Amino acid sequence: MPLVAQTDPNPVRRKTFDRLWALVHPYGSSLHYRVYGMQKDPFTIEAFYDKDLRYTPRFEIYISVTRQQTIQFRIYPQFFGHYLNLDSLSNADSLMEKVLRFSDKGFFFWAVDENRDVFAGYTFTLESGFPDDAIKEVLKSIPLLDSSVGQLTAFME
Amino acid sequence: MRALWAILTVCGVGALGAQADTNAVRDTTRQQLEALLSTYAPAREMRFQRSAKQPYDIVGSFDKPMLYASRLEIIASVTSQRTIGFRVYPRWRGTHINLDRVRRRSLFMEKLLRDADQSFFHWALDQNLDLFAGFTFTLESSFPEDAIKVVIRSIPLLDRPVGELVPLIE
Repeated sequence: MPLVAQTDPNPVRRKTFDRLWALVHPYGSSLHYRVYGMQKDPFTIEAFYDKDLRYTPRFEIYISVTRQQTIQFRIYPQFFGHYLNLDSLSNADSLMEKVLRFSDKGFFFWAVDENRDVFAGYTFTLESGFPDDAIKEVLKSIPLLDSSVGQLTAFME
Repeated sequence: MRALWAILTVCGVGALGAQADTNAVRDTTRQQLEALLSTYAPAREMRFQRSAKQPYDIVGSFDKPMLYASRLEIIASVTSQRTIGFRVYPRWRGTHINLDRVRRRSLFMEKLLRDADQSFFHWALDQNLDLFAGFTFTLESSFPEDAIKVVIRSIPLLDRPVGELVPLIE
């Protein structure tokens, strides 16, 4: 086997991911998240949360270590097995304005991905070290997004 | 009765003590932030100073020549929730970019939300529907000095996404 194949091309990113996994798997599980690694993306954790939510049946969460050495949280509220997609909304303009206002008030920002699915996000930069406690705070805060999602249901019918 | 009074008194003192602790932490964080903003060279170019109206807001501006924005107004806020929030308001043709004055409103909002997926800063609208770019630090893992420096260095780079918004505003 060639030497290059034995060398991790992303040792820093790998180390960060391992530390993230070591934190999120046990701590997230203790908060009733179901936490998995992703086969197709070795730098992303997939998690689900569905305990005691009033408006969204569950949140799908992707936590990634990026090439730029940031940790990104993406939290997708799910409805009837689907994400909240701009194309499926009765009033996409009002929803977009609402979530841009949420980004002013809330802990999380809101965004739209390449498929026009709506998600809440949070980004950590790692220049000041690995933010163990702050990551725990984000995990504790994710269920609180349910009340914001409740305000979005009016734009879905 | 005396026992109940004693309990209530202790609880009251406890609550006041917790409030004092919160304020002390907030004051310390503000001091750390002000020290950083007054010594870090790229921040010194933005001339930060404590807001007269909001004592936990530190305001500054970047107005070196840019291609699109005439100025970037910056507010760094130390909140009572143990976060530091940066808000950067681009001024275009002398005023904030307001959603009510945007011609292609739908495309404009979608672009803001798509940018937030891919960028370091996210976009948001304040209560007046003025546009700003934001970044929030949580402080549970101590004062993030180096990460704040990265945010400060990134502020002038916001001129480019502002340029991409211009065709949707006019």
